[in-house]
Amino acid sequence: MTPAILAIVATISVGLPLAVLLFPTASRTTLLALSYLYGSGAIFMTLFALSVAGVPWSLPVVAASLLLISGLSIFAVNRRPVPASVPMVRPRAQGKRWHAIPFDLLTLTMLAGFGLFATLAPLSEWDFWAIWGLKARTFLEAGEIDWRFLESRLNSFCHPDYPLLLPLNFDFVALVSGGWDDRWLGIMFLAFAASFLLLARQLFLEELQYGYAALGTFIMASAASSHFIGLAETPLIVFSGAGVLFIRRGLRDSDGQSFRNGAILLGLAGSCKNEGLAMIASVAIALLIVERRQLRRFVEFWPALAIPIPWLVLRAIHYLPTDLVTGSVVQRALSRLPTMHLVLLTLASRITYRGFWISLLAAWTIIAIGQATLKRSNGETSIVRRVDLFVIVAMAIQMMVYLGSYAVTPADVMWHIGTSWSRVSEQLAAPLIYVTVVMLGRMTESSSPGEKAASTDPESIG
Amino acid sequence: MVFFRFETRLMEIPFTDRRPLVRYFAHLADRGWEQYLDFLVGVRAHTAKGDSIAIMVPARHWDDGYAYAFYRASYMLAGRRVIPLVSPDDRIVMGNLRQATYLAEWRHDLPVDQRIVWSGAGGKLVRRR
Repeated sequence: MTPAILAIVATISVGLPLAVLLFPTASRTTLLALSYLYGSGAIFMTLFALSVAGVPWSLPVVAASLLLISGLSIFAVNRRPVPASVPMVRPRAQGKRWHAIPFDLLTLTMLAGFGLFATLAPLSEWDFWAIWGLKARTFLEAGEIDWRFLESRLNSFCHPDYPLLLPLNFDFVALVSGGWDDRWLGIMFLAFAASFLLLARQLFLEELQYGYAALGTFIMASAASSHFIGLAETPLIVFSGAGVLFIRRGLRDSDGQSFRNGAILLGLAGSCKNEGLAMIASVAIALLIVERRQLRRFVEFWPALAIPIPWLVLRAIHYLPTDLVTGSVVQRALSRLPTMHLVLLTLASRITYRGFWISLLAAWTIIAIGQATLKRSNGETSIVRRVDLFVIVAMAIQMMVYLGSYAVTPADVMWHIGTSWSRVSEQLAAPLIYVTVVMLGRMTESSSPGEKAASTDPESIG
Repeated sequence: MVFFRFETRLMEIPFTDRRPLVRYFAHLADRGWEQYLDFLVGVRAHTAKGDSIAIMVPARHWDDGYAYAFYRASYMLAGRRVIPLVSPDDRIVMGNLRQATYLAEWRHDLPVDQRIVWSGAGGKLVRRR
């Protein structure tokens, strides 16, 4: 276990200067959480770059490269004046800290349970040793990204087109360990989940009182604790969830730093799975639809597009096709159109956490009624904001992407649903939980007389 | 929302005896294929990086066992070239054997011209001449 923990500490150490450089006004808690996420991104890019440059991986070479990145980041931090930006945490005056304690304890218990679950035994998920772990172990043997392995027709089952952030982070742990050992790799997933929950709690605290913030974080804990240990689900949920929420924050406060931070995290989500790439597109479209007023911000979205590009270029050069788009996509989609209602019914019946999704819809209904009531009573609309709509629209577009992929899959559609739907539907949960809790919290506060004045917001929609 | 996202099982783990869970998850991936993992460990120990190894197991259908055997071998024998002898459409492709330096036979005896390099855990590793 020690080497895996050492690798996590090293990841945080690499990421900390990057986090300070890229988000200088963040609170210490946020910086700690971002450190792990940026650190894992830096490790991915370093191993990727070494491989492309033809430098075989070894611990001294990788450590020296990461030290160089850290050194340059520290140098840049010292040279750069801190830009004006919105301070990270602005706790609500009405909140009492102790209100958070029960929910924080529940969140910690769930995280502890998740950590123990993730490390019960060597990673045993089929997709771990057929996709993510297989690639990592193969690359470790080769001391680089093994393009011949990825190109081989015999290995098409391992989805050679999937981005490599997670396998290369597995390889970093193996380099620190001095060899491949899948016994304790699960700790990484705890680190990802804990980072995300720290970020979520800090973001909640900017908009809600302590009790609501802790409650919201607890609800998000299960979304961050994907049971598919060894797969890229957890990193994807974490990077894309945090990315969307920081972009939302950037839009809310017109804070370019937060927006860029979100774009970087989305770019890293696109380096985890193809769904992450789709999420980048979904967020971009949602920005165009909902936040046209802030289109100038779109320029700051460039990291989300730039980060995945090297992999996409090499993927194209090495002819690593995505199975969804092989053959005649249009023909498959047209042939499935008459039975799409059955596909939709299957998706509805097989969704995991069905009660949660129903409760989410119920919450939105209550929010809509509350919004209408408030508008009638005082002419102000303060519950639903554009930035909340932006998140909901982005997730709705992403859901459409998933539906589209079932329409064009070359595999048997029912088999495809059976093997993926429970995972991919969970990828949307965290941002939706966040905005729903924030809107419910805002509604509760708006209904209390002392809060009404504070809740009036020029960003409201009406 | 709180009720439906309350992960009872995860919440219980810190407070329960985890040994049954450890036993369950330690063998989860290889249920019904006892010894196969040990066999692959033996094959790995007796082959070198870059070797080509064909996999022969009792399962003859891709979705009914062969895919597991092939994928598991690909992971355990990473660095070697693992070659399937059954195709995803359930055809036996003995032609692939020509590409292999070794044949890893588990609970199976294939009558081929062969030299046993190692045997154990219910199978044998043979070097093709």
